[in-house]
Parts: sequence; C-alpha cells; structure tokens
Amino acid sequence: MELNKIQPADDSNVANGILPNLSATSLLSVSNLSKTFELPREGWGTAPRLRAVDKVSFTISAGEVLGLVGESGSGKSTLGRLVLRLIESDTGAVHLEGTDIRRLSQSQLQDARQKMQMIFQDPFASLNPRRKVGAAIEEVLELHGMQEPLARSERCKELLGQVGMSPEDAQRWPREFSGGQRQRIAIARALAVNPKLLVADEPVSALDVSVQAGILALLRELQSRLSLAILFISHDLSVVEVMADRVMVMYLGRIMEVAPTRALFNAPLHPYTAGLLAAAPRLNSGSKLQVMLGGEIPSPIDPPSGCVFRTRCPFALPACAQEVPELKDLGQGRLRACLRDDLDLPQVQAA
Amino acid sequence: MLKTIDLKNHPTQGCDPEPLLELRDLRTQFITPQSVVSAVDGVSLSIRPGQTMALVGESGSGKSVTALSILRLFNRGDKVKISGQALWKNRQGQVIDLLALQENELRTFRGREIGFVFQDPGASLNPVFTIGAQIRETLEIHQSNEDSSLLAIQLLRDVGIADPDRRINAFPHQLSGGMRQRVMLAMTLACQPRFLIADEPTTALDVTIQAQMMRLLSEIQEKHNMAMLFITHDLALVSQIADRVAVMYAGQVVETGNVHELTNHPKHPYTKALLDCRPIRLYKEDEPDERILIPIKGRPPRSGDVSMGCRFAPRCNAQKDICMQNPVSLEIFSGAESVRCLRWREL
Repeated sequence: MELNKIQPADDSNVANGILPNLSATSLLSVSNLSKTFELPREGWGTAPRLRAVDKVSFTISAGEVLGLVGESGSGKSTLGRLVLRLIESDTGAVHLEGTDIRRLSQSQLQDARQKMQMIFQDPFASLNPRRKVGAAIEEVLELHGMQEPLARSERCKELLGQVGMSPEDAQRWPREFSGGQRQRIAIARALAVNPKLLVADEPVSALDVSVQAGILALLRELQSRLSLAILFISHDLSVVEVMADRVMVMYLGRIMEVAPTRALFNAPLHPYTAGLLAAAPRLNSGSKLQVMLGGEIPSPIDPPSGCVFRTRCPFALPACAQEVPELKDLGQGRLRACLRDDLDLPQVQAA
Repeated sequence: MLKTIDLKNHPTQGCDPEPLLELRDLRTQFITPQSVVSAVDGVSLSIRPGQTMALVGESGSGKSVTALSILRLFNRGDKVKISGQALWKNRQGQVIDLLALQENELRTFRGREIGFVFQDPGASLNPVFTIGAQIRETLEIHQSNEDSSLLAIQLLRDVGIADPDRRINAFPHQLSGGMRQRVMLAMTLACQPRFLIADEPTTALDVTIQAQMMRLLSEIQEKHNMAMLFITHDLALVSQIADRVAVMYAGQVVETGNVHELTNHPKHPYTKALLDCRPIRLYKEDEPDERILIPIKGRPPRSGDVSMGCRFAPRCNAQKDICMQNPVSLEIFSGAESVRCLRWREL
C-alpha cells in the first residue's frame, strides 16, 4: 500500500513523483486532497462514512481549461467545491498562486475568492429572484471593495456587455430571462472580480441543446480573452471534448486518467475512460450503442479494495484487489492509475 | 362495446401500410381561466409493430404532450381539450380510436397494451412500498397471476437487476436512479405491452447506464416485436437507436424521415440547426483546434404567440418574406417522408 506512506497536508508532496512538478505557470496545485462525509447514524452502530474524494492531486496552469469527467457519484462536484473551499477538506493542500487556501482565515479566504469563482448548474437557483440583475452583480463588486456606486454601475454594464447582454438588462428581474440568459448573468457575476480561476460545475447541463452552444462559445471566448483558467466539470463527454485543453477522469473519488484532450478521446489508456467513451452516443456512427461497462458505480460508503474500478473492469486481475494503483506519469502529459500495463485498449473514437 | 373503425373510409397519404398506432391531426389544448394554450397542433404520425419512432425537439415543443395525449395521462385538475384520432390496431386486427373512448374503456389499454416510462423514475414509484409490492400490484391489476412474487423476481432479473431476490424487498430510495428506472421498466413490461412510450427515460442517467438501458430495450423489443415511441432531445442517441424520426417544433411536426436519411440529409432548417448545434472540435496539426459551436438564435415561441407563417421563421437563417405570410403545411414526398418548409427544395 504505497500511497499510504504519503503524509497528508504536506507541501513536499508536490515533489513526490506522481505529480507533474509545480511549475511557474501552475495557477492551482492540488495535492493529496481527501474528503470523507459522515452520514447520519442508523441504529446503534458507528456512523457510516462516505469517501467522496480520495488523495486527489492535479494542477491547472494559468489560462488552461481542465475538464473533469466521471459518472454521478464519482466525486467531481465535491472536488470542485473543495478547490474553492466551499466545503472543508480533511487532508491535503490546495495552492492557488502559491498560497494554501486551506490554511487561510475566513477574511483572508474572502480576499482569495477574488481569484476564484464558481458557476453552478442551475441558473434558476443561483440568482436571487427578489433582486434585480444589476443589484445582484453590484453586490459582488461591493463585497470585494468597490465602494463608489457610479463605478459599480459602470462596471456592471460592462460585465453585461461582455456576456452578450445589454446594459438595460441590469434593471430587469431574473424571472424575465430564459435559462441561457440567466446563465450568462451568472457568468457576468462570477467575472465581476476578475478571477483567475473559474470552477464551472455542469454549466450547460440544465439548458436546451439549442442554447448550450452559445454558452460554451461565450465561456471559451472569455477564457481566451481574459486568460481564465477553468475547472470544467461535466458528465457530457462531447461538451468536455470541445471545451477542455486537458481532461481528468474520476471514478469513486479517485483519478483514473489525465491526458491532453485529443489524446484522451483518440486513444484512452484507462479501461474506465474507454468504457465511458464507448457508451457515449455518437451521431451517424453506423453502429448501435456499445456496452463495455456493466453494472453501476459502487457505493462510496464501502468502496472496493485495491483499484476502486476493478469490480466493473473487464480486464481486472486478482492483483487489482490487493494494490491501489498509483497515478503514474507516462510522459507526453498522460497519467494513468492502472496496474495493467499490458493492455491494448480499442481506439473507440476516430479523430 | 368498443367502436371499431373501418380504415378503408379513412385513406391517409404517406403512412405505413400496417401501423399499430396512427395519430391523425392530434390537437391538445390546455384551458385555463386566462387563456387557451395550444400545446400540440395537428400532429400526424404512424408507428408499425416492432418499430422505434423517435420524437425530437426542444423543451416546450409539444413532444411529451403528444405522448401523454394518446392515453390522456393528465392531472385530474387540468382542463385539457384533445381532438383528432389515435387509431390503435388491437390484437384482433380491429382499429379503435383511443381518443373516442370513455375513461373506463381507456383504462384497459393503459399498461396492458401501451406501456409508459418517464424521465424521473423517483416520481413514478411510491416511496412507502417496497418495489416488490409495487410490481405485484401491477401484475395483480392486469393479469391476476397467483404466483406474482416469483414472477416479480423474474421480471427484475429480466431487466438486469442483480440479486433480485433481495432487491425485491428494497424501497425505492434504497436504489440508484438507474436501478429505479429498471424497476419502472420491469413494471411496465410485466403486462407485455405491444407499444412502449418512453419519455426521456435515460436523460437523467449516466451514459454507461444509458447504454445498458438502450441495449435492454432493444432486446425486449426484438423478443416481443414491441413498438416504441422514444422521446428525446439527443439526436446522436436517436441516430443509434431509432428507425424513424419525427422532429417537432412549437406543437407541430416539421420533418419526418428514416433515421439515416434525416440525420445525414436533414431537409428542414430546424432539423439542420438541431444537428449543427451539437458541439464539435476539429483537431488541427499546426494551428489552434477549431471549435464549432453554433447555437440556434432566439427561443421557441410561447404557445399563442406563434407567427402567422412558418413557426420557425423568426429563428431561421433561410427565412424569406414568403415564409411569414401563410401557415406552412407538411409536404409529403417519396412515400413516408415529410417536411414543413416552403424552401426545402432550394436549400
């Protein structure tokens, strides 16, 4: 059990070899981050514990879009919230421009949040229905120290323009807008403080397909113009493929594979990634949907020993139940956590 | 006594020779004290035994209401006005208009002849009964089978639930979303319906579970020659599971066709736009990758707010003055294909 030797919450972990080194361009560096939730007790026994995120390490460079995919229950949303410290992690470190945000006081954390913001899935829940759009955006500006009302209102109009809305929309109520427009307002609000990192948790999943493309194009355009880094969380592989520079695949709280987008979609190296790609519907592929993965994701209350994916893996060996596979650097930006070095996975999707 | 209809007196153009269900000029309106909302406005479709017809469109296009209208599955409080015909061919080969039936007559068709699977299986299951009790209830209502427990276990096994002897005693909240959807399917299939209406049954599920469900559905379909109306917004999924497709916009069908033709050579600008708005990335060697992200401008009209002419015209890139002048009818060409666009031949 090699991974257990690593001491949590220690900055030296970054150099432990399973991670790309913390380079000068790394905006965010996460190491050995773990989170376990305690569930309500049933009867007299001990409270069950749910392992949501388990020793996760990764980096995001300035201006980079890192896609995060995985089935529901993989821990991807929890990971996004841990990065922003919307929930407290148990162990590990989250460095944003060199500062460990886990060790900041609440007031320091508020300052740090100027650098990192979040967009949520449901644009109907993330805006206060009793506050006009302009007020909702100006609230953020005031909170982060912009005292002059005139300056706030000017900045608010500028922000609305940036997301393709008109300045007059500041005087309207959230209910007057469609889902796509509300998501634009939520993006404007997140950009108000000039963040360097955006965590976008399923930002288009609640929207109609006809609207999704517009929001994705906007995010990609803002990203390149403002050189924003984005942790882009989605269950939709086609959306992640178009948005991400690199993709990270999560399963039951652990990272299975990390790779540049093209490499991951053309030639996945982890059986789980291959199974996900095989199941994704593809237009006019001329074939039926492929079922490579049977069963479903096991309960994180009682995860399998060894490799957490082994219970659904078509290639699992007895050894997979014994040893937790390390996330190994295979070169060319590719990392994989799998004991089977001998696998020749099918190239499921042509370029 | 059920009224039967002599089909010879009702000639139709462009329909399959032996449809199991045929909708003719279906119109569904919701009546509120303030207004009359027209959700479905003249939909005609036909589905043969064993065939999968996909019904595609944005939210609010009327695809779910079309399906609900067939069996009149509306809330008791809703004031709904339905007109048109839903011609059903029964096991004796007689044709019955489901829309002309009384509520108590229609009840014999719900479940037994036509099954229904919804998007949210959580809302369709009763939280206070075990899934076994709920499957047995279905069996007893429809089949009065004595050994319903054993049959229930077999049904759970058929829909791919591992360890069905134990699971039968589980409550809905103890199961995952995918598992609950399988239970719903087991209950639906208990009556061996000849026709299944599936309203976005996999939208809330992970792609891996979706693939399993779709394989299961197609196996069942093949075994029992069951026809299916599959409602979805996912054209990629449609291209892999359907035989025929009908695209709906603002309460009307705007294009029908076989799946290969429609997804490869769409005729209606709306179908084209739906296909084009899927995100695509083109990888390049020496320059930045190209990202193709083409939303459909504007938004669907609210009911009662539709334009005089083509309903899609305000959002259409190929719109001309003639499109706005008169209502556009569904033009039928080459047998069973149809399109509702004045300019499709020139586009």
